[in-house]
Amino acid sequence: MNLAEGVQIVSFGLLSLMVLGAALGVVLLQNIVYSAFLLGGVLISIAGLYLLLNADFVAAAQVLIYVGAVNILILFAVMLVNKQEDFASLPRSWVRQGATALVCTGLFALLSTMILQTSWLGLNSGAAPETSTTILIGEHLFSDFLLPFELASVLLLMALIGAVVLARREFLPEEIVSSERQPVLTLPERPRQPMVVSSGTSSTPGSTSE
Amino acid sequence: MQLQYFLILAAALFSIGIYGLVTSRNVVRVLMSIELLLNAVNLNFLAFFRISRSTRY
Amino acid sequence: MNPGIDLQESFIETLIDLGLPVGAAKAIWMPLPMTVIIIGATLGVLVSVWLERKISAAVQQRIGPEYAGPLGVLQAVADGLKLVFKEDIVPAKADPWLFTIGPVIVVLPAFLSYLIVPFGQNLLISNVGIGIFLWIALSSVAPIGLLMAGYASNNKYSLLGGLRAAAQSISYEIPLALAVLAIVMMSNSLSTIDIVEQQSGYGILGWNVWRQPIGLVLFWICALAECERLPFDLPEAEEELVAGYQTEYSGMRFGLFYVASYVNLVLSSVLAAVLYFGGWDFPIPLDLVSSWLGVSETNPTFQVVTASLGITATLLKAYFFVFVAILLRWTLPRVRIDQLLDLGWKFLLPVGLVNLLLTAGLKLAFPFAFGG
Repeated sequence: MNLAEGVQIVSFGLLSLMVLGAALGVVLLQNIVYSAFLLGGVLISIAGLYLLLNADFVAAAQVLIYVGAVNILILFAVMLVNKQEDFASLPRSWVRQGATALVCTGLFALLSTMILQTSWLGLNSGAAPETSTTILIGEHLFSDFLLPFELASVLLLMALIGAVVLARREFLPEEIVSSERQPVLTLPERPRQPMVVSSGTSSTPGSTSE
Repeated sequence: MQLQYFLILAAALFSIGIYGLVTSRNVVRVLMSIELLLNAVNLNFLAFFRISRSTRY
Repeated sequence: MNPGIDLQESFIETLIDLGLPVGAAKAIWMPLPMTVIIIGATLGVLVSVWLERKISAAVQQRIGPEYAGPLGVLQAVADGLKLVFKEDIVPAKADPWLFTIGPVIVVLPAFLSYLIVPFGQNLLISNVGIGIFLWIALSSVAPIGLLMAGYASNNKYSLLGGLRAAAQSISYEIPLALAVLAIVMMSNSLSTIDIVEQQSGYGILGWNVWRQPIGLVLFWICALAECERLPFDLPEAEEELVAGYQTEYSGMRFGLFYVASYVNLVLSSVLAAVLYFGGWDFPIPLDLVSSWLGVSETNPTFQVVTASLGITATLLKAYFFVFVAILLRWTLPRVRIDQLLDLGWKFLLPVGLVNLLLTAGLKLAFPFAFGG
């Protein structure tokens, strides 16, 4: 074993300890803010594991997307909706949790025996890639994975439009139709209760709700 | 680096995520558990990418 | 393009000649550049703090610090010493763990990003393939530290400041990445070395600033917003939020925020110089100079002179940007939070996309000038 291999083994051990410890923290801690911060720890350590796998571009993308966007989004959600709600404690919650823990341990045991039993057919080569992974990813995205890539972009666009629609829910959908009828000094917000969409019998805006 | 190490780590992460998904009673925590699951899957993908490289993956 | 001096090779060879095994020689080399860069970054902070004080004073027609050392150059050191010796207070109702970890998370990525800052052909810590992308990725970690600090302080101003910082950082990362992407498209590589190589050869005429003027403005606005400099220092707007996420901090924990903000400023300036002003490239092509002087490019003395000129050029260009940032601080008023987000999402993002499209079109039309 030379220096590089030793460093790899040690850093794999440290990173996996960090991943597992932080993931357990995410799941088990009572304070949800701690959980959210520990999730950031899990994501960063997984980026480190990607580096160990020679996937530098994916590691940086993991930091950018998961830590910089997803985790911050979750933190925003936790901190902006900071309503301390205490759940009513269930009578025998430990039974449920114990059962779940048992099932999950069983799942882990099953998976790990499967992993150890399979002989992975001489796949353990572990050679470093010839070209840089960035170029590889680019080539594949624009040749044989073009359709999934474009579909993913359409999906993202749909999510974006959906987010905009959800965020602007307060405003009238038929602003243009009703704008000339509105009295001058009212806000263009519709009433909170759901509106009837039937268009034929509508009178002044605001009175259409039932 | 052995493939099995990464696969077992991903399996453990996945199990933890499943536990969180089932037991947590807060929506945000459910979301976090789903992130754990997704990352376990991603780790598997990357581990297999590393070892299986022919001319066309 | 001659490779220039390679300190790593020669250092390791010297050690091997002394009778050390190869692995040990490499292991001895590895911490050296990191230490040098960390010390350099810290010195850069001290210099820019002094510059900030002096230039601010000049803008306001004051004298500025003058007693600590000649021209007050030791003032930054005095500031730092004061922060070190101040009492380090953790508020009673604060969360002590998060309160401590927050500033550390803010500082670490800033120093880590120096990994990719080049000062010469072989004068950087590591020529990682993802280069500039690493900086963009790492700069998105800092908002977590700010949120942590804001939450742990148990103070509504701190929390609001942290949330603002995170929102601002996320919004301005996208146009920043788009501006960088246009450069990357021209140089066909994410590595900072290749980006500078692509600009070199024609002296000042080859620099990216002529090809990417919109990109430079975009990049600089976004970099100022990422560093939370005025006119974008909303997270610590003192009229509204006392001091934002730093409100409850004192002593060295506050000092870490302070250091991080200046390290970020210097880092953004160096990267602006690398991306748009040709990095270590000298305004006059050096092979011309060598042919005028009649020295071979492989002459060791000439190479040492070239390397030091490269480092000086990088630093001068970087400190030009620091100067611009300090001048902007005292000439522009602070924007409001809604103006800030509007500017980011409704103006800079479309401009960035158009710039990217324009660069792609120009690259197809004139492959010789825009990196074929």
